[in-house]
Amino acid sequence: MRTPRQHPMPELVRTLRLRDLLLLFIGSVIGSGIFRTPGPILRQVGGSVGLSLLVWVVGGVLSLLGALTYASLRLRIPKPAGCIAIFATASAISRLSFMAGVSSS
Amino acid sequence: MIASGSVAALARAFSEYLARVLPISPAGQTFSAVVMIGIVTAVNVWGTRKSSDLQNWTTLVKMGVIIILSALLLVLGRNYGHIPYAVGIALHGLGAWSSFGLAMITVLWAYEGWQFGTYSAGEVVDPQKPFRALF
Repeated sequence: MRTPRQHPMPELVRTLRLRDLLLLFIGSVIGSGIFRTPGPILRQVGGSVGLSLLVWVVGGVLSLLGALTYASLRLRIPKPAGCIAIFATASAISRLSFMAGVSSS
Repeated sequence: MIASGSVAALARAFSEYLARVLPISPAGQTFSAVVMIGIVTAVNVWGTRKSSDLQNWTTLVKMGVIIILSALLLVLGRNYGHIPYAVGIALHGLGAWSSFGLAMITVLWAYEGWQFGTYSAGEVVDPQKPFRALF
């Protein structure tokens, strides 16, 4: 009896390097929002430049913590995958990882 | 990954900025937003290398503009003390924390995107090394 031929899983071509990854991160994080939001933020903190800059710093630290968490999880599965797969790797609860993935997309 | 909501919002922002430079109608703005989504989609489909090159160049231009704008505003900016406050904000007591929290929502939207870079790990040469170097 002939056994069915096993096909390897197709993979994406790996072409990105450190420079591309660095600029991809910078380009993703510093989006067009940075041109739109400084004014509204200054208005929300009553025109205080110091407080406005503090908002940017605190937001930056929170974003960095999120990015480090994602990167740490991502290093465990260095293959094409979205956030659902990333959360599923970290959590045994598939429904929870699905909800987290959908809500963050 | 397709973040359709963000794509639509940013394409709309592009057309609004374009309208400040070129005299185009509201219908023209919508058309330019759709065309821009089409162009970026086409480059992405063309290949990872091409789309990465486009991303690299646009990011470098954006960084340059931000640095120049920041320097100009810090040196020449004067009227920031006269901007109108947001409606309903409080500057003292517990209400000040509420205003700070509202501002955090806005700033976290501006920073959104920190999770997107990790999705490209499957297209990175030997991803363990650059990811460790990056962080």
